Amino acid sequence: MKRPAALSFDYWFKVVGVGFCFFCIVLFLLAFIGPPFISPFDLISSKDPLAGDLFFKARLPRVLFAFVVGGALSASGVAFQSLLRNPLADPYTLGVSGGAALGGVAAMALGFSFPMVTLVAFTGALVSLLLIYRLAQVNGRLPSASLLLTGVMFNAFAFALILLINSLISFGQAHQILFFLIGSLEAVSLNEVLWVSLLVAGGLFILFFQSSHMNIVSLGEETTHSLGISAEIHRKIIFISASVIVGATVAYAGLIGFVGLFVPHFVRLIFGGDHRLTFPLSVIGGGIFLGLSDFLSHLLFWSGDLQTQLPVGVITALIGGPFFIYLMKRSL
Amino acid sequence: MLQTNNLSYFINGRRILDHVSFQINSGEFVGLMGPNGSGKTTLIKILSGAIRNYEGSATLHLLHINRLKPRGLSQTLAVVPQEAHFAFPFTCLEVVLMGRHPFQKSFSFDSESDTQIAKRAMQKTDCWQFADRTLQTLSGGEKQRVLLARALSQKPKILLLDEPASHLDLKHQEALFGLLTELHQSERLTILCVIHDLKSASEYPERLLLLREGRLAIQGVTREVLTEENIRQVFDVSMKKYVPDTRRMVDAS
Amino acid sequence: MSNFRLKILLFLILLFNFNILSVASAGVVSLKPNITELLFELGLGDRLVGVTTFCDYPEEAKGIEKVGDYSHVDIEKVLKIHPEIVINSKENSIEREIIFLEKRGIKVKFLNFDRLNQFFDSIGDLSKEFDREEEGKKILSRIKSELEELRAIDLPSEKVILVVGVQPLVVVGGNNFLNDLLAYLNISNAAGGSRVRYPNWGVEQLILSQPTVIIDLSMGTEKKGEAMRLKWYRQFQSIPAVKNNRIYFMDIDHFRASSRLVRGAKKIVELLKP
Repeated sequence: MKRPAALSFDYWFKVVGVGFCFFCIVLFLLAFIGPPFISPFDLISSKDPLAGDLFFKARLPRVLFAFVVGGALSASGVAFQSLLRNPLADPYTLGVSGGAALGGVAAMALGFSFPMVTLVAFTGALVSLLLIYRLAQVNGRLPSASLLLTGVMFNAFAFALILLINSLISFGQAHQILFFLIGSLEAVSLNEVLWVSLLVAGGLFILFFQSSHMNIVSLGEETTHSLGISAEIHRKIIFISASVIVGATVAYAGLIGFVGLFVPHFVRLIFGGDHRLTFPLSVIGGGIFLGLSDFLSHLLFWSGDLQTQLPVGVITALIGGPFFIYLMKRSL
Repeated sequence: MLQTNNLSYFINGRRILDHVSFQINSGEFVGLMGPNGSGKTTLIKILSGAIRNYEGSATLHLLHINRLKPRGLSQTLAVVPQEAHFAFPFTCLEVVLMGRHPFQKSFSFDSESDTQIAKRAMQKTDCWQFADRTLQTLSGGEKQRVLLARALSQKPKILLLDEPASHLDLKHQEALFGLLTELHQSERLTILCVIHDLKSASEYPERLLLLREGRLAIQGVTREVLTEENIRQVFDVSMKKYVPDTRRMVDAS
Repeated sequence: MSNFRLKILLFLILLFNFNILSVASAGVVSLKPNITELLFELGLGDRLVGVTTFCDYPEEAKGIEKVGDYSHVDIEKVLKIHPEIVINSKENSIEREIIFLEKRGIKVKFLNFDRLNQFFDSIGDLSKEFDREEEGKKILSRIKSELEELRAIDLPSEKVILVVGVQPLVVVGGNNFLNDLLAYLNISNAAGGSRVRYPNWGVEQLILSQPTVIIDLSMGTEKKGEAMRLKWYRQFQSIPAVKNNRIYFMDIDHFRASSRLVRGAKKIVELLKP
């Protein structure tokens, strides 16, 4: 399918449809392949509790979670990129991830129970976004450069505070802080996946209907006005929805890097810039990318006598980093 | 009808526009001139609704521009910005179709008629041939023609242009002003165009506004404004050097 | 004039006084909790002049000046104390800091506790260092004989998993002190096949390894209550340990490389006894 000069509904429907089918197929395969392979027939027919436990308590939540988190991070990447008119923007550059991690770490240091930690991490994302938003405003407007700089500074500040907390609290809790900093898709229940998915779906729904506005917003504030939408209102909607998504994912999965940066860029190289197409494809691509990364991180467990698995963030960075530089060099 | 009354604007306490008052009637073709930093671009931004916290008044058909909804405003008024930065690989057709955005629902695809309007606009500005190329691959002048096509596809009643000819070669400069004159005559399009080139300024617009240090120094019918004395006062150069045959033109009237 | 001389003299006395005092101190600094415990056992507790913030056993250790935490050393404090010797283990140490101390003439002795036999050797080394070889041998033989007794107990064959942390899930693998202890007691470690000392597991691996006993040591490392943890394990009814309600919680500090280790080992054996 050659990319047409401008997006038509037919083309959109075909590409997104194929993408979605691919998404479902990969999800389905990863859920069963493993390793170890879980036969769908075993699940239906046999009363072997092992297969059931393995599938419903461990495999399915983790694979679903990977797809949800990947899609969410990628979607928020697209949103922040259009907002800042910069393909290098992502939840990290904006400081929202840092705020969420800081909230989570602070809650742990204060000895909160785990559900509270998640809640505080989420609150941390929202509070940090409001703070960044207020601080970045200049004369009632929100210039991209100011938002980007404030975000980067805020992130540095948040990480300094995390390290400060880390050095003050006992060694033991450092283990859990590590969880926030390197990210993990493990140990979530289907229930938790459902909650994250609800929040993420809400954000994605709003962002999806903003996707044609993202095109306009990406042209800059003045052009946004002259093409008929209020820059302030739509930038706010996009910023807040994307931050809610990031808050929810970071609270449950910690910091997983590169997805929001790498996937949208990849999608744009193939399918062009129109956000009506880029956005849904990035959600699909992000899910597949993180799902496959998670698969790879588990492969190590079955290879030889290491019997350990890598943090999924290691895989995303190992694949994403070099590939990203390659793509950037090629497109320049 | 565009009108300003004692329009002033400050950035960090620095005065950019200083009590500017003028009126542009429907169907007029007005040129806006002035040295760098005289406030031309700021004025365009205020009239297009991008800057809203000005002092004094700026009205479109007697309605305050900063109180108009962007959607409504953009259905009558289009802007060709001086320069545009495209962060993402949009094709030219996609960019021109964005001019139809004010007429579309919040999430929709471009209809056949939208595409036709965009195509016609691109043919008028001689850029249909690179419809499927991305903006990044175009030269400055080609980009400007695409931006003009985008503004035209808004089917505006009023067109504001910020130095639309700055990157154009001679042929396309002539074509641009020819097109503007044609639109102005056939569709009674109201045009406010920032012009640097004295020769173009003397040939195309009916009236001229001359800004100097944020003040409206001189306004009036083109041939009355473009005098040696006025040009020396505003631009600090001799007009003769740039438009050698002005006298002849003035004499001919 | 003499007034001026006096001042210089006073200044010099003050200047050197500091050094004289510090050189005169002849204490021992321990940079690991288990080393502190061993030193007390050897009867050297009164010579300890610096310990870490984690040295909480025996009770007297808490009163000694803190000169470091789990990995860091407060270099200035150690230099000021100027101990006769600093004792440290290779694990979790920041080499640069130790080299810095050595360059300034402070003797640093490293002991190794990575494996069970290294632990036994280290007790000997430590006692030799302080001319307490007799006490050292006594302690060592006591530990060994007590472990031998435990080893002699006939245990049903269970597959045990030692969980160090739940989020992320970290377990005790092979090639380490605790795995050696389990092997010594003829207890099979479900994660013992891993070459990684503390491998990172997924929930899937926990289920697949089908342990018959889960011993959770993560109380010290995570702020999740016992009840919550139990609830978390209970979701996985296909794990024999869960189905048969054999999930136990222990403090990982009971497995420090000191003679308290025997108590920890005893507790595990008791848990596994039919």
